[in-house]
Amino acid sequence: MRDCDAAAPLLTVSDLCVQVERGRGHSAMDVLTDVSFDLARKEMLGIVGESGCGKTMTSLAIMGLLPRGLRITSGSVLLGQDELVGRSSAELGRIRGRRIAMIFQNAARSLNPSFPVGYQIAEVARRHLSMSRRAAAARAIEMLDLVGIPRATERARQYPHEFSGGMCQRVMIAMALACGPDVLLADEPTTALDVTVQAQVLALLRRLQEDLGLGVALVTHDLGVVAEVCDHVVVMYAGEVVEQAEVEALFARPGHPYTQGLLGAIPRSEHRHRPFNAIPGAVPRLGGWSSGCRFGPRCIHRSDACQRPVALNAWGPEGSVRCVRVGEVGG
Amino acid sequence: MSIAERVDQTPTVPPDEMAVPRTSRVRLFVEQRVAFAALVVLVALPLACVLAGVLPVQDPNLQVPTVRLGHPTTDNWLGADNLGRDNLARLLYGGRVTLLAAVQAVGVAVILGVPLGVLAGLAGRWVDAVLRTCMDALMSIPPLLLAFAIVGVLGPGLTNAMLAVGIVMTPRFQRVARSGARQVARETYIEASRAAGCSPWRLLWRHVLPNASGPLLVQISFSIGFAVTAEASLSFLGLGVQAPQASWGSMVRESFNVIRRDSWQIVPPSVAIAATLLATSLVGDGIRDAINRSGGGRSAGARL
Amino acid sequence: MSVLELDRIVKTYPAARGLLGRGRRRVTVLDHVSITVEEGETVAVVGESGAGKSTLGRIALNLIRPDSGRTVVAGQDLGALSATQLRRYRGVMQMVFQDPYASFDPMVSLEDAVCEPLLLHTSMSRAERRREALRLMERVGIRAEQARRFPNELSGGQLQRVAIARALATRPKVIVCDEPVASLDASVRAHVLNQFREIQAEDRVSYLFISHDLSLVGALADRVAVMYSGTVVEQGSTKEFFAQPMHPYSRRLLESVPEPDPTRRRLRLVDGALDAAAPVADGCVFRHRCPDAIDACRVAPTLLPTAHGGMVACHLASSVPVRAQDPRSLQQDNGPAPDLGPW
Repeated sequence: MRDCDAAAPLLTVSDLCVQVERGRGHSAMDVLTDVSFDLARKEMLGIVGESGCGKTMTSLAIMGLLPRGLRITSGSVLLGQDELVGRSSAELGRIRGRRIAMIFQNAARSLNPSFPVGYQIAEVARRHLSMSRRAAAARAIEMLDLVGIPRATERARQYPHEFSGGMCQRVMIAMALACGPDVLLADEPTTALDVTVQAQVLALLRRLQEDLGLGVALVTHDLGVVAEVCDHVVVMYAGEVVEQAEVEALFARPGHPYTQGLLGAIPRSEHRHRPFNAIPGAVPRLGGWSSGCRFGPRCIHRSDACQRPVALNAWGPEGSVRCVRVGEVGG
Repeated sequence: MSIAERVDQTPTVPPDEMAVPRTSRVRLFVEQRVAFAALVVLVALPLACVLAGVLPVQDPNLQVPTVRLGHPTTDNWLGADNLGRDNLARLLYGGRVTLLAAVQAVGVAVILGVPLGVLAGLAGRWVDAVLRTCMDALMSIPPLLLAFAIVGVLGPGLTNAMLAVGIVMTPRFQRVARSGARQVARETYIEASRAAGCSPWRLLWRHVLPNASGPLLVQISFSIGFAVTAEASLSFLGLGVQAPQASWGSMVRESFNVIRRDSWQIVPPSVAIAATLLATSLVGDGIRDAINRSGGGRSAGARL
Repeated sequence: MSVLELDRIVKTYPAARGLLGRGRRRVTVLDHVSITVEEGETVAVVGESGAGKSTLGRIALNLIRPDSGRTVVAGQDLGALSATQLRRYRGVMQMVFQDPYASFDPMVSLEDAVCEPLLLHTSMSRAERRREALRLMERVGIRAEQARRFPNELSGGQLQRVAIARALATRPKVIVCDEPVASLDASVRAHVLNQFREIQAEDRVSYLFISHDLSLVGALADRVAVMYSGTVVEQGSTKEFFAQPMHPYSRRLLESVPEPDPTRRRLRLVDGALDAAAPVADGCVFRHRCPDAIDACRVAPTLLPTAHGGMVACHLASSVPVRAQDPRSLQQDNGPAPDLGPW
């Protein structure tokens, strides 16, 4: 377990709720419900879940980049001491990139194909730090070097299509860190990459976190990745946080049946002789969530108490679980 | 490490929770009120023209000298022309001619353009290149000029004029069919059907054409509007409909001749042409939006 | 007799042409690849992007024709068949694709989609076809009322199971599975994988299972073939492969797989900018990225048998005397053996 800074967290998300409007005659639909977590300095937080759980929406909501039709209806996002919810887009524009940055899954598509990568990185520096053109260009080369791109001066003049997938992701990281933000949100940054390249990019993120003191929130669906690089984990299902724990505690004693199910679904050598473990049913689509425990319909431990909405309760050394039957089941 | 118990495969979730009713494209179209209203107009108008014989409408050829160049009255709702013929009746009967002509022209364009387009989309590079060059050549000639040329060769008359208009519209259909066919041909389900042993003909008929039909429908509706205008233009210039046959275009011409004496006469046929054009454009827009919204058949629901 | 035999398959594509189409460079996607699948067996083809696995899968079905080499399915050389004969032979070999939503015609109901292969390969009447289609779907857990629906109304896991039903309609001997669970959620993958297993146990179908997910392959496959840049670099039984990978690339691959156990973090977090491998004109395909490359690697190694029944294409691996009973001798020559977790 690494030593995360015990000082005030860099990012505090409290009871964040996001809804999507559906037009006249329909009430708004919940997309995220009461999402809360902290991110400390030098901490890698894993936000894990399957499709439709809201993990990407959470990062977009924090950044103020929700698509049209979705809005934050309640809750707060504190970046240091500053509240982000409710700010105007101009103010958010000044904060994004400067104090909090985000990288996305498909790096090659997130870069502008018409401009050299050095130019794109420099542009970020110029906008937020008011650097001169020359200083910004130097900064861009410095960043490319930092993320491990060889012959940075030369490659800064190249275009995105001249870089491979893994290299593009490094460029994205360089661009995100150009202005020295405290927090980095990484939305499935390695999902589209080959496994050997993934290992390198994860290693890079870890190293940068150490050297620059970043707080990184890593959104992923891959529990292996979480086990390898994360310190704390938040498990999401159907727009809610269902479990939170330190990574070792989560893997050793998962509290929530969904977490147990996810861990059980990982293929292991014993599955050569036994059927693979699945969670019955399928991930419910938006709008199809039940009003009580949202995992209820798929849970093998479902009871009557699960028909009512469930709150997050403390569990384990530092974690919490949203389950009324925790402690009785699995564990 | 404790893991979830072995679970059986039967989903415990009731089936309705998992299946999402398909938002059909028809439904998406109907929900767009403007487009739907336009479609109603587009159906009502030809219907009225076709049923003109049954409706209580006057004889379009009956000349009543007393009401020459008359304005709208209770007898003649749209007035009467310079020979005393009822304008409403002429509009409806003339509408038959115009709309039928438009359908002919579009029909020619579809019969010529779609097979050539599908061929270009699915066959090799050379075939595609040759066809593209031909179509580009056709498109580079100003449409009405090309129509004149064809009519000049074939002789005046509505059918020939509409054949000409159809040929003029062919390149557009070829293009749309080509890109539709090419796009669909690359889809995985085509590969899956090939792997199952589908013959090329069956692939084309059962899988490629239905999926490529959306943009074609859009093109058809826009083209009907164009054909109506083209007919009007050609008839106006005397190259289309020949007297005593009446169409909207010839009505425009006749009212143009008397425009100094009575400016009302030009209104009924012009409004009819403009309304049809507007209606077809709106319907085309509506179909296109419905197709885009249905996402080409992919699973609906936001990606979170 | 093997049910699928790919014999020295070569496939190239023209590279981006220069001006006026002068540059006639070709990119080699598959370079003399040979793989065999026996009856009732699952052979996994693993590799990263650019390895050529998907192309190989399509060549196995003759959806793409190779430049040279033979494809033999159930004893029949596919290259010797005319187009019509080939179409009729397709019932013997089928494919399950990666994205279930893309592999179904959105305008065709699921029932009709499963009936299609029956229509093409059997002389059943319409009613018989529909009954058979429903029976096939029931076997994979899809009820009749779901069968009448359209592809976009079902979840990914359900739809992939319908894809399996469709593939089974003609009772094929071999099914090529191209990353069949990669686009599914983790919690539903198991349903589909168990389905594959069950069907293999009941029908003795063989699978050519293309995947990049090594933990999955370890649990599912009987044999593994590792591909890199169009070449098979190692082949062997799954157990042997995971216990003792011989090729440097195989080892690198296994080391990179993140292990779901935080107490055993073993990602060698060595940050080397080693991706962006340029195509290699000669010699071993992996030599530019190989930490152990020597001069001899300028000559392409051939696939040679190893002591425990596998095959590997590496000068280093085959030059070291391999003793199945003494893995430590291998360690001394090639550095510490990587800790491979539960395998």
